[in-house]
Amino acid sequence: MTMPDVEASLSTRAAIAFAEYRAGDRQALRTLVDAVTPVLWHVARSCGLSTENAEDTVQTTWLRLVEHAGSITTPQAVLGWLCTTTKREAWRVQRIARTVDPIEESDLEPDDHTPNDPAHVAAMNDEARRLWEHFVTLSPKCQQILRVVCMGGAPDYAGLAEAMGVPIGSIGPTRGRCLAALRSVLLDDPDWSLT
Amino acid sequence: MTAHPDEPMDDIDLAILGALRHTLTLADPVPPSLVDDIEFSLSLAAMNAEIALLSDDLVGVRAPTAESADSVTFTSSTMTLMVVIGRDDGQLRIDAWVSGGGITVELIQGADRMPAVSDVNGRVSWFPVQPGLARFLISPITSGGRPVITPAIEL
Repeated sequence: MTMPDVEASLSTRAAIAFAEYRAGDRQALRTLVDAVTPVLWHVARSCGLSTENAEDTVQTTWLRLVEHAGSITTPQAVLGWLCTTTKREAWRVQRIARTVDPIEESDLEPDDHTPNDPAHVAAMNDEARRLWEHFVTLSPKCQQILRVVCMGGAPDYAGLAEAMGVPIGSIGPTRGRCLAALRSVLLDDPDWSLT
Repeated sequence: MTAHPDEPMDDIDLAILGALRHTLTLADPVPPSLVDDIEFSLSLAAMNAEIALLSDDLVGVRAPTAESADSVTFTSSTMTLMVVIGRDDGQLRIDAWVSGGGITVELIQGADRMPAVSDVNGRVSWFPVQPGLARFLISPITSGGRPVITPAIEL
């Protein structure tokens, strides 16, 4: 069994870059954008946004960060703040898109998880394709949580899960319901193995 | 094989999350232009730029065929920029006129920024220019004024 690539904590890298930005280093904002945008992309997409709306939403989130940089009390909180802001902005966009009265968060289920570009599917090897096939059988809520959590390194799992509304102490240090469900279906599939 | 939610995460869990991350980067990749677009909107916000309006009712101006030219005009509260798209030796050429001489106008294509200063007639030119999306950034005309950015047009 090989360990996956586990990067230095994303939340720590984000905190350092954000602190440097607040101290006046404009280049540090670029570092922060580079590091965190992939996570925010999956937050927005996991809320069911189209690619176009997800791009707008992530851009809006960064503009909000610049507007509200002074109100984030500790740099360590910036990753969670960005994820939460993206999620709220995604719900707002969803409400407009659906042109209905405000609806409960629980009604907003991801509906756009399937890769619709054949080139993306073709680019996957068999292992990735099988993993994807199992992943999309999970509940929408579990897909949403795992999609975002896996974009960080191991030290970030708990914080990212919390930002997505999972109680503290679920994913990281324990497996949690969603990862347990994915693990069960994968290990029951004789054709799937970790390489 | 049932996995229990309350057990501590182990190497298999970490490997599954790592594999899922890899799969997601293939299944739903971040659009390649997104980070540059974010950087651009952040730099506009930092400079408090005014966004010019496209005066002509043209969205997505196409490059003309050889020996013809097409034009588009942008207006803001403080200035007007007329852009003429032409071809010279088979390559794109952009001529623009801004309200005044000595004004810096940047042609921006992705991360490439090509500044030029208008002559006494307010004319600025770029040649050769790559096809694709482009914007123009006009420096403040008066001290303390706001820079002006145009919407993107396709050259």
